[in-house]
Amino acid sequence: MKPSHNGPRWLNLFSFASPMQFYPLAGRLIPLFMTTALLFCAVGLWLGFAIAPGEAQQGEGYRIIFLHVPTSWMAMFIYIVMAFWSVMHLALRTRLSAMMAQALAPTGALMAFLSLLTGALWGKPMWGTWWVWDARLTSMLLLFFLYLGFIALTRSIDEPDRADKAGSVLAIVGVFNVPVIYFSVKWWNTLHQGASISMENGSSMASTMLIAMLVMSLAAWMHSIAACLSRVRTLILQREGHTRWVKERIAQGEK
Amino acid sequence: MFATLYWASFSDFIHMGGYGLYVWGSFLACVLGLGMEWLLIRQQRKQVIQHLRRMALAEEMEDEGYEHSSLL
Repeated sequence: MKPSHNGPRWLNLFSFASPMQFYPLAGRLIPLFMTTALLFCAVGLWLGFAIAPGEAQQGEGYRIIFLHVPTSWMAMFIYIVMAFWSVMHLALRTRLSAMMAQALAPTGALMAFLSLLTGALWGKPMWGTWWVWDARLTSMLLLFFLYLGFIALTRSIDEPDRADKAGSVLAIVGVFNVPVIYFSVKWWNTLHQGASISMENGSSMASTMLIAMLVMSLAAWMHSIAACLSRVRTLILQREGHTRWVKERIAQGEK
Repeated sequence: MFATLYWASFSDFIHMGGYGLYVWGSFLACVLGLGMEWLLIRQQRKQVIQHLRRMALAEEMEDEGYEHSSLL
């Protein structure tokens, strides 16, 4: 399919659906997202760990929130994005969409894992236990397994087209778990505390804490975008290895 | 608001009011996790590029081999 030439090509966003066009763009964007991630991370850590006051009930132990909440949000959000790209792949048959979903999954799995781990480290001193089988924790664990399942499924099928299709279906089916995680603290009586920020009640935190948490979340976003773009570039090289443009890039000493 | 340090001393900061192990444990886990992610991303990329380079080399040698045989 030829891109239309009615206007300047950089205006035609759909041209970036082609791996050949997207590859150099992603390469230029990665350092940008990485620097902003580091910047936000530095500011967020400074605010959260050096400036923000202690909390009335949990003392200094609450500071795990600055790691726990951003990783949890990211784990849920990445899955939604993954499902979005999967729908795009099934609907539009764009190869890049499926590659995006596969590039996102490892970061999502890592975020879910870190969310569970920091949660356990927070639960031990506050609840007296590392783990309980309550709705919030169990649905988060399920999310982690969904990520692992997606990665295992897409990697176990050798034929890229079939792997893409199977992965897309799994990602879309699993997305219904995300609202369950989000609303679990409302729907069931859980040990996990309610949302720190909600649509109806706004925030229940002191402003410095809230700002630190939001800045850390932005850092997690930027990191995830950078990691996903890096991974998708490798995937593109792998999948398009037979094409002339990849061969030329390799010959020119791609690093 | 953003300039006054909360901590009176560095040891207070490390101690975290008795939660040091949990807070710094979480912190370390995140640092290690993210660091590992970037290492894996780099390693995978290097592997793929190395593989493609070998394929290109093999193709080149095959082409040369074909030319020689056609001379006979």
